[in-house]
Amino acid sequence: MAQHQHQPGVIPKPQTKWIWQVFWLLLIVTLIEVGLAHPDVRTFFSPLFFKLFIISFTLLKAGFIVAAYMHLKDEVKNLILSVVLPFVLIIYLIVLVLIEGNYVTLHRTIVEQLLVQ
Amino acid sequence: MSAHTAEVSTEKPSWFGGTSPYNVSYGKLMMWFFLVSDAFSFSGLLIAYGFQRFNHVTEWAVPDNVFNSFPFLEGNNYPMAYVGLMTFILIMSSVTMVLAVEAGHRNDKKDVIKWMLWTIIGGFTFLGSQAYEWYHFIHGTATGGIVDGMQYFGANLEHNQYGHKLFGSFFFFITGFHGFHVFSGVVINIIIFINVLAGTYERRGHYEMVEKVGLYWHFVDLVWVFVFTFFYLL
Repeated sequence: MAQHQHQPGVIPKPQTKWIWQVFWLLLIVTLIEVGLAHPDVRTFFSPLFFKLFIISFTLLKAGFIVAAYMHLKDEVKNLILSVVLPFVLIIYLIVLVLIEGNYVTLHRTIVEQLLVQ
Repeated sequence: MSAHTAEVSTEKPSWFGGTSPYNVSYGKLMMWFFLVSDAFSFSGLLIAYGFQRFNHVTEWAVPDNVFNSFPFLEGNNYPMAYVGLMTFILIMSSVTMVLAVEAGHRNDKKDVIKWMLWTIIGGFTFLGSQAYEWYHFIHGTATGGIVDGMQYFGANLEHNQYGHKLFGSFFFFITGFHGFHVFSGVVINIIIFINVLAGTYERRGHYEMVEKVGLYWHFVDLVWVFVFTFFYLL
């Protein structure tokens, strides 16, 4: 797929513009993240919005790394789906752990209260 | 040549045998599936971290107060500055890796050597930074911290000057597991680098091995993006 046929002995010029464009994007997003997470800046946002901002920036960065640097966007649709779809299970696991976590925390607080009495 | 890197022919229709329906070689497909399964391991670790953090939300350490030191400027408060620099180093080594892959597409041996060497240097720099961070975390600050009425200096698996001891366990395990991946990535990079120097891929006619090891290296960077967010920033 990626093996282009070249004239023997002739090396084509590098095409690296897109690589550096993605790099600047990743760098700027990282700087914004570090800036937002500074204790003095963090307090401007409500905790929910802060988490939403940071997680969406992270998913943006992850998407660019996978699509551009790992060349997933150039692969056939079958491969893209085989790689991306299993992560639906991760969303399922996060939901499960959030629900179970509530019960575990509740249970722990009740036990601790009983031990105090 | 090696059967694992055979050229993919698209003459026959897919699913009738003899062709790859995914239009990639066997080795690259298996690298993708390995990365998916490895991503599940890291997801499991980070989800477990989130679970315990919400369970001990009041006693949990505040990352801004833990990771605030910078080499040669210890004692000052620079929250997340060094971790941000580490992220930059890893992203930069990802860029040099993708440049090596691009040079491989052009069969440009000289450029592949140059960019792979930079990638290996970046990998070692990141590992050194992580060693610094572990050192600082284990030894703690000069004043220490008070947990449950006891004064502690630094952190280990038993206690932790910054907060709940599980914070330390997760720090060691998650960044340790990631650092182990970076280390194996550097070792694999060095092996491929020696092969490039020896001209193995030049004789083979393509640099697909560089592409495969590149996939692994980008994955390591990708995991760090998530560790950085969920462990350090949130």
